[in-house]
Amino acid sequence: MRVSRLITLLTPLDRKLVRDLGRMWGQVLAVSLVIGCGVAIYVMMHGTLASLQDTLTAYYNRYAMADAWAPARRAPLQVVDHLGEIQGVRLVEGRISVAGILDMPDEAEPVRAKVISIPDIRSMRINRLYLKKGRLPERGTEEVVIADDFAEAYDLQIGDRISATLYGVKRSLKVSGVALAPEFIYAIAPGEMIPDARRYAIMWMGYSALAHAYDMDGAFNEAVFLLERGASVPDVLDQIDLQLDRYGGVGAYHREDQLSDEFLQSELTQLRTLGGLLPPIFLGVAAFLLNMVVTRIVEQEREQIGLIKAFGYRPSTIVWHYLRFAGMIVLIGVLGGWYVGYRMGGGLAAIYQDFYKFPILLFDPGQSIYIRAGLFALIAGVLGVVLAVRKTISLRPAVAMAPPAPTDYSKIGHFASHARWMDQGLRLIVRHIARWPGRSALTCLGVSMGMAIMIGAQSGKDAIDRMIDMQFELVSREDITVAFTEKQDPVILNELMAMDGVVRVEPFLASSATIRLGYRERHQGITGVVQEADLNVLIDQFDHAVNPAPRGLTLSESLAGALQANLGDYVTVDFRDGLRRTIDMPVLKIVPTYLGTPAYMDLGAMMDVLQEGKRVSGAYLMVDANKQDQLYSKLKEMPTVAAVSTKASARRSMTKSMDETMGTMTFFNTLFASLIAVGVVFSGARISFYERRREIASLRVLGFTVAEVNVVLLGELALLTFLALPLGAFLGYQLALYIHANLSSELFRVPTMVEHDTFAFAATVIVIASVLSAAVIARQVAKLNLVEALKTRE
Amino acid sequence: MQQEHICFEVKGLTKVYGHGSAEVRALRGVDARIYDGEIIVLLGPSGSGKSTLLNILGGLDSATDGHVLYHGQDLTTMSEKELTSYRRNNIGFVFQNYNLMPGLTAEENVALVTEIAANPLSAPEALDMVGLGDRIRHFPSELSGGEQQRVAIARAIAKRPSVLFCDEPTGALDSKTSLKVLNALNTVVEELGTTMLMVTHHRGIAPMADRVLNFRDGTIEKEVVNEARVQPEDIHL
Ligand SMILES: Nc1ncnc2c1ncn2[C@@H]1O[C@H](COP(=O)(O)OP(=O)(O)OP(=O)(O)O)[C@@H](O)[C@H]1O
Ligand SMILES: [Mg+2]
Repeated sequence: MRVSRLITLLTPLDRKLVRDLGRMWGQVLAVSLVIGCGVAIYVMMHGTLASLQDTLTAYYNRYAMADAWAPARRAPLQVVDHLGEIQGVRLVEGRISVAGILDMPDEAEPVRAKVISIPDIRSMRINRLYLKKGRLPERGTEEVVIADDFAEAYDLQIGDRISATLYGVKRSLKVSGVALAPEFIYAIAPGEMIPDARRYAIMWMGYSALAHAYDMDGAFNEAVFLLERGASVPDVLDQIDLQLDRYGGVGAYHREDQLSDEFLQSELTQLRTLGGLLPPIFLGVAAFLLNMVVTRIVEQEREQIGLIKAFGYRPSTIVWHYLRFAGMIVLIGVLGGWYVGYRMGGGLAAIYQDFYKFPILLFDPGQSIYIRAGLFALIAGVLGVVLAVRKTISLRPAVAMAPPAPTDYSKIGHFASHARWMDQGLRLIVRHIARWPGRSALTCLGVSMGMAIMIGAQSGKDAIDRMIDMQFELVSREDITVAFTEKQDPVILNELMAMDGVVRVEPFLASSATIRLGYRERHQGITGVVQEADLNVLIDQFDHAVNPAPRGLTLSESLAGALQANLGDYVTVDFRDGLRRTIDMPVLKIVPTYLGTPAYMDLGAMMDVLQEGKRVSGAYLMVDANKQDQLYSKLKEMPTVAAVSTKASARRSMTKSMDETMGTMTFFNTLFASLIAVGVVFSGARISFYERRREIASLRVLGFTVAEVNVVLLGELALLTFLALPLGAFLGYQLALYIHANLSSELFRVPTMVEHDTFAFAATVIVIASVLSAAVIARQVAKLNLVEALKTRE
Repeated sequence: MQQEHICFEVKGLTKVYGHGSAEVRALRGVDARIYDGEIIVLLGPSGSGKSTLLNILGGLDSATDGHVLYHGQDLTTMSEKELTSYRRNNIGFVFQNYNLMPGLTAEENVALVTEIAANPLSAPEALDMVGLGDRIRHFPSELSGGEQQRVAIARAIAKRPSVLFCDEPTGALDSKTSLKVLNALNTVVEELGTTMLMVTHHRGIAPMADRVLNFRDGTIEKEVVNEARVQPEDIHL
């Protein structure tokens, strides 16, 4: 009652608007859903990314994340004051940072640890800890604060003891606290590519206790810096290097090159790329759908439009009418999208904050994100309507009002007349499609776009999975990597080979270095590897094994890109190991890699360059799977072995890490993409039912059963859906190519890969959506009021 | 007349649309008996319930109250499925606005019905009967209104229905074309012995019928029995 009262207050066109919305609520909701999904995903992605960025910045500021790090061998504490005098340095702290090995009870592999000193008396001023539980170590005791993820991985509590080998001496460390630190959001062990809390522990110990254990009293081996705002970073780093050179400085580096931050930034970039790519595409699909729906409504109402124009209404009034119609749809979508996007964004941000272990949580997408999302949707809507109305509005009233001449099928000739095997139903389907090729193509295109965005949404993860596969199957073929405490004579390889279960041994030599070309420089380890390698293999762009250049440098494509180095260029290499030589070397080979930015040399050539005699840093092993566990225990006992890592666990943790970040985002993207696809399919089906109501009613009057009518109506849907599947797969693949090209970063080279499962999933969603839409339509066919449908004109 | 010759027995048929203040009583207790092979013309002012009666008898709409027996079977208690098969096997419809499938040629439009009927005429035969044997390959958009209506008639009778319902079949046509259409109807009805109920606003058509039912306000106000049917040629519109 109240509604009808309200309706009488409106102008006739307003009333038409309200009634149209009510009459076509199915389409209205489907289109709103699609727009809502576009808006929601925009708000969710950008909201989440903005909050992650804000949270990270706040975390770094509050806990004084260092701007620069400068490792050295051993420097007296007085040097810290000199470092503080360098122009551009705001604050400096000297600390001890050492490697140890832990023996965890239920872990066969030795666990590597990085132990960092904290000041005994005053509090930390740089890279401060967020103490989650417990307290800082008491002065002079062997108490430690351990990183939260390590505590979690082994379920360690305050007061628990950890048996550790520090500087060759077995000790029992007592856990006094659990903490988070801004510099170890990602704790990645040296030589590893991904964090693994079970195999790499960060812990903090009081300065005097740690100095005592490592014979470092009165000294430090790493300085951390906060820089003045606006300081020239390269100059400051040069000054630091100059000062620390005689104390065995290995090269100061900026936050940009700090592993945890670099990893984090690269991941945020990936999320940002994904978040930036998909929402516009989603909104584009929404605009397309809106256009399709409005076009067809306008087409049906051309007679009414002609009439209204004949009465003297201006075309702009009529355009405005349809704009408001679309505006209502957009409004419903935008409001719903904002709400859902806000809720899911909050949830997603919480998931990430939990994953990254930020101690603080800021979720505030900011108004601009909502406004932008709404604006995009509105533009999509207006565009959809204007394109749809343009043609009809320019018709002369008389033409628009011409009798509802039967659709002229003669234009398509007697297409399908001679196919005797066809029954009239099939003929109706084929002719209808042939008569409206544009409309059929649009329906088909809409459905394929729905399918394509599902493939696109899923493909990012496929590519990353593929990247992991390639890395661990083609490049890292070893089972175990052994790193020695100090460089060893190659005879140790025989010793390894003689161990029970070792099938093959391949040595490597590693040195940290700074590689420079022009003003570009990178701190990058160089690895000396053997020719004809079987275990750690270099690959070319066809994934075939290649050898390192016998002399000179072999660079990864990513590193060559970062340095802008071409084949034949001479780069300057400062070796930070051995005699610490500085040499100019030619780049003789550039190879693609999937992970990281490695640089290689031939093992023998590198030995020559380092001038330390025949020495190796470690070895890759291929082992008998059955004897792997025993082998660990034995390797752990060897005094020369500093670290043992297995490929299997590295791969596991990499996959896990990727699942949690990319996986979560992929899940949401795919969810929205699927909803959009369903919306597109449903509106397509719904509108073609609406357009053909009269024809359906005629068939029913002639005595056709509901099932028979459905064959005609839904047969067309089925045929178009069937055609849309390969097209959707093609478009999806193109979208994936585009996304992958954008996902690659310096740390990752993302290959193009769309899993069969992804295609299958997308196709399945489309088919299920079609079947469900068909079921809804079939019900409407059954419920169709024949008398009414026949009264309304075609 | 005997029981088995009764085609429709209509008893107290009532149809109410809407409710409350928006209630419209389209039929208010109609009683009628229609015999096999009869031609009935329904006359009456607009809104008096003619179409409503036709739609209910044809199984397109349901009654609010009362009964309709078709050869003894009660339509008002039939399920949607039974009504569909009732329409499919016994009923032909011709409406004012042709309702052809624009996507099918004349022949194919007719074939639409012959494919699902038990003992149909062939499509060319049916089109021959309405004088369109030479236009079978044309699409509706290539036919005049009168021709389209004759295709609709051919389509309606191709299944040899026992009853043919026509709701203002000549409503959209000029008198010359109307006569052609009426002729076509008459020919097939005579040839096939079909019962026909025709709604019209043309009093001039009334002599074609065996009986004329005059509607007013949802009831049959008056019934006129003609002594003999007049051929369409002899009708003046
Ligand atoms: N779907 C409906 N809802 C409400 N009222 C209806 C509906 N269909 C018909 N009516 C009403 O029922 C009454 C009878 O309608 P009907 O169509 O049977 O008239 P008619 O005799 O065929 O008129 P005409 O000669 O104009 O075709 C009319 O008053 C009409 O307004
Ligand atoms: Mg009527």
